[in-house]
Amino acid sequence: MKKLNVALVLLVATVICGTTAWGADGAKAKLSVFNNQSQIAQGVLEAITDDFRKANPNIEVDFQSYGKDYESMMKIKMASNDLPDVFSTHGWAVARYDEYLADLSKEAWASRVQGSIRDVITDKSGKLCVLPMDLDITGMTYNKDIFKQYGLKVPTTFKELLAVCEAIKTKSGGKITPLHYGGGDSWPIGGYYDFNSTAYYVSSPAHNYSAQLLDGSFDWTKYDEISKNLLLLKEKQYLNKDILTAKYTDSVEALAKGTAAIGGCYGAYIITEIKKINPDFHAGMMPIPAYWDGDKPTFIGGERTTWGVWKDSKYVDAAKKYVAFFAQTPNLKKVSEANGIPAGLDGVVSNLGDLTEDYTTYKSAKIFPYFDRALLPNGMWDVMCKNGQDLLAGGITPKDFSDNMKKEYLRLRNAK
Amino acid sequence: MHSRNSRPGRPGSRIKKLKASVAAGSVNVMYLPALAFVSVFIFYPFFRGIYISFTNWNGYSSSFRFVGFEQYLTMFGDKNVLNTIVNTFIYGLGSTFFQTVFGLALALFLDGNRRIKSVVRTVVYLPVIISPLIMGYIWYFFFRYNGGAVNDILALFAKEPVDWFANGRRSVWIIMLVNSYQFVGVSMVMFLAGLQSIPPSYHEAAVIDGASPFKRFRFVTVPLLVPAFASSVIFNTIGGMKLFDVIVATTDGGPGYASQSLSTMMYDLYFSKQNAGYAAALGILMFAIIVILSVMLLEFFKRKRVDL
Repeated sequence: MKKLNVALVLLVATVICGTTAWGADGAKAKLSVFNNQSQIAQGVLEAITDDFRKANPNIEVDFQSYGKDYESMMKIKMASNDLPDVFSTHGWAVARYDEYLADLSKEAWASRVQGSIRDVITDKSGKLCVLPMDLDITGMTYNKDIFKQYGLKVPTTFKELLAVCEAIKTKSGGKITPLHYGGGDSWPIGGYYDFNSTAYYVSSPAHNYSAQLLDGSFDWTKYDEISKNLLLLKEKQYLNKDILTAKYTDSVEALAKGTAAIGGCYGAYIITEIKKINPDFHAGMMPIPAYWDGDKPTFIGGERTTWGVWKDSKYVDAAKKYVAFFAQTPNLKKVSEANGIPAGLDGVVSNLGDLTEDYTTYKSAKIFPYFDRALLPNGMWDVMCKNGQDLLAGGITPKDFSDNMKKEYLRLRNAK
Repeated sequence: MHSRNSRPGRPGSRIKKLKASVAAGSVNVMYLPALAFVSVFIFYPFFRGIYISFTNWNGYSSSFRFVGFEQYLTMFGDKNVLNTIVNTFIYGLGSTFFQTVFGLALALFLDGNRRIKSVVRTVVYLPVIISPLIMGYIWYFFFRYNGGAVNDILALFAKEPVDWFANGRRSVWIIMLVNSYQFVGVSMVMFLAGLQSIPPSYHEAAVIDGASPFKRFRFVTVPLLVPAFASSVIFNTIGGMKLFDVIVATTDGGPGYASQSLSTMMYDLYFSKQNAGYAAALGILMFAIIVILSVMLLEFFKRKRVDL
């Protein structure tokens, strides 16, 4: 019995210690951190986390990377209301994660958030949802050497893009694929739709259907056009032959080896991966060509690498301290350089390598938010990915594609 | 027969009964962990799944509404679901066919070749212990368009490379064959055990009666292997119909929805399309199909069973 009593006392003591505020004698905060990055960017986040651990021995950090399974994992976490203390919001800080996030607007770094991203990560009540470590400015990554070799200019319209693709196909004798998509992963096909939808349905004042997309009155027959043009690119053999089965890594390889000229929907993040295979790769970033006459090329932008803090975390202060550590200039510089895009806070000068020139050239190009995040209900992304594959495989027609989009759009809108 | 002390109504008998009942109760307590486990991990998710199938829950939000049978009605008009059901049957029944035929052939071969039995049995059984996901990736690298082993072989004969997984129907058959290859060892072991349980005297009697090897196989071996057939067929059918990992590794259900199984489609609906209600309804449909098929197969094999 005596032994039992001692055990009970120890148990109670352990429980009490476990609930003691971190920072008290010997008590440690245990942060769980989830992120969606892969490969190089993930390595950088992990290295900064190691530095944080060394600087804060009283805070344990369990750093987990889930790559492409990240969204599924987070949906399970949201369903059970048991989120990690710190997590990436992968473009959905406000639309999906707002109700779970703590307000970071009082943090010391908050005043330095770049103006172009501030609205994207601030909710209607003024809550700053995340730390934006970088700014996503995405167009199409391309091989500058191939363009130079064939004397090609960066296309500014869809018609010019077709001409450039034809020139690459003809001049290379069919050995270089003009546009490469790792469609076997499905998300690059979604990328085609997401990137180009802005040029088709938003950026041109005469064809701006943003209001209709938001209020539900959009005429979805108009969406046939973007699918027809995807089929046109395929028919003219401007796309890689294995578009239905190639993975993203195949796109990296094709661009690195010079067997593809343009990564159809890949941002700057692909460059660091290409350079691992071919350090001499001369990368360029072009904006998405305009579709309508009189319109101008556009970039797509928004959140990319972010940290949000779970509002119900047991260790909110430790989590904010972790986030603040990433907001330090040297750390932001590392993250933005790994992704090849500008930092999300003012006062950070990053070396963006090959792209510095392009960001200067296109500094006046308009940056639009991702089409699906800004104008479609949450959940439409996969509809574009899977139906795009089906379209290319000949399973559905452009009209079927638009009908499926309309059906899912209405279902998800009504499910709100 | 009761002893004098144990006659009903006597205090001694009541105490004994009480003790017996407590003892029986103690035994029943032993079931509780298993019951709790099954309740938490099987019954609760099952009934919760039925409940969710009548809602429009998106899979993570705290709010949703009841939609009655709407998900089920949508399901029967959805051509992707119909295609997925066909695929699921190909995965289930196709795999079962190949695993049964080749499993039996291998078992018959090994039953007569005792010297190489352990080596061949190990080699054939080896893929079973590999994760299906890894197996899927191995075969993906065989069939991939750029640098795939199959296309490299075609190139040796100056043939154009083929994008094997770009055609949905062909992908379904490749996936089914990969699954069959991986689990043929399970059927082989079941049939081998069945063959070894047949007393040699049955075959000896048939030989004396002048039965040819084929007739001995047809009228002695096959009837006595019915229990092994039953286990193998039901096990493989259920496994094939629940196929998930190999599909994810090779095609991820694509192109589009062309090689989806009910399992991968459920996953896609829940996690990507945020349609947990529909995913749950599909889960109930899959449960119903597997239960009906299993009961029919059990009944079929029960009728064919011959006792030794």
